[in-house]
Amino acid sequence: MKYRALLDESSAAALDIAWLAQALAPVSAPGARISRTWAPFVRGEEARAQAAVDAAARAAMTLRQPALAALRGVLGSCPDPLAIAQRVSAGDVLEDADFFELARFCDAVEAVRAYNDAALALLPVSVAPLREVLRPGRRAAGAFYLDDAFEPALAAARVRASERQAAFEAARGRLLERVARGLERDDLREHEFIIMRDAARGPLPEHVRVVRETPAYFLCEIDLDEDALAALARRDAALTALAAAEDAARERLSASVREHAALLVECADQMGAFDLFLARVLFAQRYQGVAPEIVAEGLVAFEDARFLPLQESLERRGRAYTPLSFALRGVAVITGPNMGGKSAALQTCGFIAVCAAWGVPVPAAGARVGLFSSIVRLAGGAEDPQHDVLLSAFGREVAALRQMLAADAGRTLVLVDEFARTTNPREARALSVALAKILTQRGATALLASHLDGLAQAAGVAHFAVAGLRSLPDDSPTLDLAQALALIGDAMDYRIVRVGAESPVPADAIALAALLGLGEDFIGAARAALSRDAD
Amino acid sequence: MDVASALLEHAEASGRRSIVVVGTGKNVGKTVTARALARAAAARGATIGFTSAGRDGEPVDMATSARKPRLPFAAGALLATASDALRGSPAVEVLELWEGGGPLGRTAIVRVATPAAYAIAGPHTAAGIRAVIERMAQLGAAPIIVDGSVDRMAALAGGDDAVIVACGAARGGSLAHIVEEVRAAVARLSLPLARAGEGIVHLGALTEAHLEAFIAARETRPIAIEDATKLFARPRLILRARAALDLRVQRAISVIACTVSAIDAERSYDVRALLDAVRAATGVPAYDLFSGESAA
Repeated sequence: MKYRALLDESSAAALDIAWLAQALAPVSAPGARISRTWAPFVRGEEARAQAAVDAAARAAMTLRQPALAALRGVLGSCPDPLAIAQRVSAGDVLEDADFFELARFCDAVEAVRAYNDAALALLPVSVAPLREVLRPGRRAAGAFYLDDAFEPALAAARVRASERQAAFEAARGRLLERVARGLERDDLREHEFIIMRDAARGPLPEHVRVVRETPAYFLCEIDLDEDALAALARRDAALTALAAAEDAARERLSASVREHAALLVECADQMGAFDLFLARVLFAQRYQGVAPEIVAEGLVAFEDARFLPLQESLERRGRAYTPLSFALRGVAVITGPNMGGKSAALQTCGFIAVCAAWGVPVPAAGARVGLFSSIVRLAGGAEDPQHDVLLSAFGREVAALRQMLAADAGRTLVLVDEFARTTNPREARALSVALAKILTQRGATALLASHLDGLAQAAGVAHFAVAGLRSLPDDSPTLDLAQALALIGDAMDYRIVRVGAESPVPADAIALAALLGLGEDFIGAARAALSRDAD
Repeated sequence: MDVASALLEHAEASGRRSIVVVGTGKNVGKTVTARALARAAAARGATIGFTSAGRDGEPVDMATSARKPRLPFAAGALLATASDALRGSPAVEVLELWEGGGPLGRTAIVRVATPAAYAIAGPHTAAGIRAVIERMAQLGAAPIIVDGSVDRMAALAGGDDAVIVACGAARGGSLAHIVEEVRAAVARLSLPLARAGEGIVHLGALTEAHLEAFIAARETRPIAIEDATKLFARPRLILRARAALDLRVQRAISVIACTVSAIDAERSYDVRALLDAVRAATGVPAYDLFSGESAA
């Protein structure tokens, strides 16, 4: 996928787009080729995107697993005939291996078309005419042979070549037999052989040519007589004639293929597109994807959506994942406790937006999504090896922001994870307010996750919050990390709720730190410092 | 019985479905051995499978312009070769095509339709060789014969083959030198099986530096490597290491015979003396396909 058309590498990594690309990977050679150039839907292509997600979701509802698995199996063995089509169009004569590949491609196309299910969109066109051209060469289990039917002179040339080969073998065999009898040996099979001097009584037999003499033996070969030489010449002439007849057959067959080259190219692209479509269908089945409503505005709204890479990761560790419901329109701030899922909310927004742009049913109970020209994720302290190592975390963040603001990327979805977290809170707040206002002026769709108080109010944007901790034991027992994480997970309400712009950011960090094992002295000192600040 | 049939019978008695011919160097008779085995099997009516770890069967060596042994096959034989190598040969039935065969393009498994000589350029990797052996076996070929490339013993990695080591006059030097080379090759390939949980397990290649270090340290524990293709050293050091160390392998290779070629363009050796010396040095039967003699 050309995801770089939609996301920079850092943003793609944060949203784990590689996971998504892997989950949607095609299995056929044409699919792999098409996927390398396939571009996401962008603003203005809402109808096409809608049609794509609808078709995939519809097929996912009706197609059964065995049929899908069978289709994927067919696609998995489907070669890409594009290069062959291009060569034959340019006037090349194809080789037998090319005809074999074409025949396999035709088999795959017709096998796919045999699944004539109404739910299957994008079925490739038939290549039956080309298949018919190749039919005489088909053998059991998909094999191909340049059959006599392809060229009138071929059958006779083959018979002649076999006969003349046999005649030559017979002539040479007679000589070998005569030589073997003369030497009283029964092991002579090869053209070259050795005769030990002490085994050679008297002169060497007729038809033995000594290639080399040593003190112990002669290296010899059969000296062909006139009959054998004539048989050899006839054999070579027959092989030359056979080669000419086979070349003529290949030329004739290539010319027939050439007539269907345009169909071949069209069908190869369609098979690739079908493979990508089927990958989306499988994705929708596997992850319970639904067709989002593709809207014309810059909206990302979803119910019970899942950021699948995180869900898989948590479930591998035996932990539950809470789907999110949220609607992002314009610019908004999201606050909440540490470990409350603010970053996951950003990732879910981005993931759902990418799925829609790729024409993929989204992992949610429902969704309304606009198409974006770019999706950018900015993160405080993010590592970026592409930038100068002399830049601090804050410096890298500013550099990335400058790059984003300089780019006129059209409609943009901006996901900001604790901007300026590594600088002092007062100036970080000021910078974040400025960022929210500029994004609002630009008409961007943006979500800014932050711990800073009063940010939404100062920027005049909507304020959302993770519901946060329901309750935590005041004196938690000593827990190992896994137990602590499980306890926090159980206590955390991950729902996102709209709150007043002035709502304070919750202060659960000390309680969480205590649960995660910081000592009583440490925690006591932190609480004392907090109450001094409050006074 | 002619000597090629005797060698084939000996190989088949080992119970392995594939026979791999490797050599101590170039022009030592690998292709002549492989061809003789193929001919002997075909004469019995067997459906042979044939491939090569290099490029064989073309009229002349592309590197040296020297004449090379041709590889004639009867109708029905299965070949695994780069599809480009088939240009100039009579049409064959294409059964399968695999990408990534090497510089000569895709590897094709084909069935011979017209009896003639064919050029064979099989897969370049051990994994590729293993894969085509497996596939040709599934397609009904038996025996499957692999013409090893020059000193390319890596083709043996991961396999369960009957291995024949070819040696010959083309290696130059004295008869003793030729015998020492083949003795080292067989010693390398015939390392005994390691016992689980015993001694040192050496991962990856065991090089000359490793061997020298183990010998210098007078290591007495068994030293196990994956298989003999992971041992890289000059013949003399291999023989010294086999004497000084307890080298073992996790997967054994079965060397069943040697073949000798007593003559080349520049020198020749006494066939009987060479056969007997190779037999004594390696402990496996030795065959000469040119003279029809053997030391079994």
